[in-house]
Amino acid sequence: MRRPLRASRVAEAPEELPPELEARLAALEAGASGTDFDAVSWVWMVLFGIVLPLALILLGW
Amino acid sequence: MSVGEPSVLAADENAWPLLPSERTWGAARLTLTLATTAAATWCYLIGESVGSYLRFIQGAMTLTAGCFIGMLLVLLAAGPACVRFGIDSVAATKPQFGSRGWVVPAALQAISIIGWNSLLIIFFAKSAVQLGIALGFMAPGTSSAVLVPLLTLFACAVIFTALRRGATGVSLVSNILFVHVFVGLWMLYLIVSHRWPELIAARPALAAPHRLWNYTTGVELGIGTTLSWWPYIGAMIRMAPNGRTVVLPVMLGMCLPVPLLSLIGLAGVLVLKSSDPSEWLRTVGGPTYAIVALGFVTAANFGTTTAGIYASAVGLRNFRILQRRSWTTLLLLTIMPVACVGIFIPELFFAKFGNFLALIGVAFAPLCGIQIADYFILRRRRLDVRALYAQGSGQPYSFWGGFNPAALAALAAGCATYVLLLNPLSYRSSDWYPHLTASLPAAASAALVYFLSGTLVRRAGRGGYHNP
Repeated sequence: MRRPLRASRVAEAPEELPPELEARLAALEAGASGTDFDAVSWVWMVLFGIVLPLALILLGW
Repeated sequence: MSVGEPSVLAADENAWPLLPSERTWGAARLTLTLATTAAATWCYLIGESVGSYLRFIQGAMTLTAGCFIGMLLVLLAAGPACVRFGIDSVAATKPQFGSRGWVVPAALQAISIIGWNSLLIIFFAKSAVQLGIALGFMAPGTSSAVLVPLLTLFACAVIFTALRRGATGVSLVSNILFVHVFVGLWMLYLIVSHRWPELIAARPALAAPHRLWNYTTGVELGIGTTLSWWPYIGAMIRMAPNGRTVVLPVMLGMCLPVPLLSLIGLAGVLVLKSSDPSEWLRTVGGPTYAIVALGFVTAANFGTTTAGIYASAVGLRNFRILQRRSWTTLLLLTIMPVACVGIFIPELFFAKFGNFLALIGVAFAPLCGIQIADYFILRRRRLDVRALYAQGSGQPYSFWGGFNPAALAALAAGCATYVLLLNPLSYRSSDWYPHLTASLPAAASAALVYFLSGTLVRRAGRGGYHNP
């Protein structure tokens, strides 16, 4: 019974990451990650991705 | 944490996340790079496709609308993870496809970019031969059978040298070649100003009897075009510090030049029955204009191929077997297939490229739907950056054996929806297609299937959905 359990534990152990990558992940986890889309970004995306295409489709028809 | 210049280069070449302090590209630099990436001779072919079904004004409107819709999908799909963690498009698919399943989008990316780049590099070689003839360096009628492979080899060597500097090489090439976008607009002005009455009166050669079908096909071609920017976008926008910095450059730099330059092909095919300006500019403006056009075509192809090969090489780093290989090896692995196609089967590839590309395009709409549903609905904008790089079972994104069945089922459902609505090879369509397009329902169905099956995955405690 012990052998499969040990094998399972070994399989679940995360592999060691390169030190440089590890440092980067630690920095990002500590809050150094960027931000995705703020309110202004959404306004531009709605304007260019929805309003403008709809207007063009209606105008072209 | 202080990260020096060599560290940035290492992260750039290893597809590791970039820290905000390293993401120094502002809106102007990003716009420039994205515009150069998007503005290539495929625009003429896209314009030609639209001009087969629609008149000039209608074609311009629908193509532009479709391009912006597709660009929004791509930005919403790949954008959030790429700009938050400074990662590329393929790494951004690990939360959906799993720590091993990401090879599916990676394969799509590789096939797509290699295909596009092969087309462009052959175009580059052909246009360079024509430029040599126009400039008097070669005799008229010189066979391109030997010159095209040689020029392909030369172009690959130059791109390889430029890209050994990582993204800096892409940016450098972009700075030099940005001017060709304006040359393209000048060519558009020429044909519009010289042939406006004919342009307005011209009728498309392959228009279907159903007016709405033609109109929807114009939109669909636009959506499909910018959906194929998915493989490219991550490698570029990860160099910018946040989402706000990338939105306008993507919409105006990566998207807008495509319909604008496609108008050259659209106008050309409607009035002069040729989408290639290097052919019709001789008719419109004489040999001098032809030389300028050929110079433009040559430069545009070169810039886009460089960006594509860079994005593809970065994507290769996600493969475990290649993680410890040198950047030079990755570049060689990326360039070799392109060089082989350009050297050994350029004509055959040209002849079959339309079918190849149509099949590739089918997959990117569902892929976008899956990523949007995962990030905004299922995960509510929470991602585990460490899990993106963690290997082995029991990790948040390992799902079952490294694969997420929900993503695979959703991808299959999305592809099936597309093909049922519009056969990409024969262009036979269902009755619903003129009202819906094919890409949008494909993205929506994939998103729906992913949401439903992803809910089951979450209940099973897999996928890291419960992590903070």
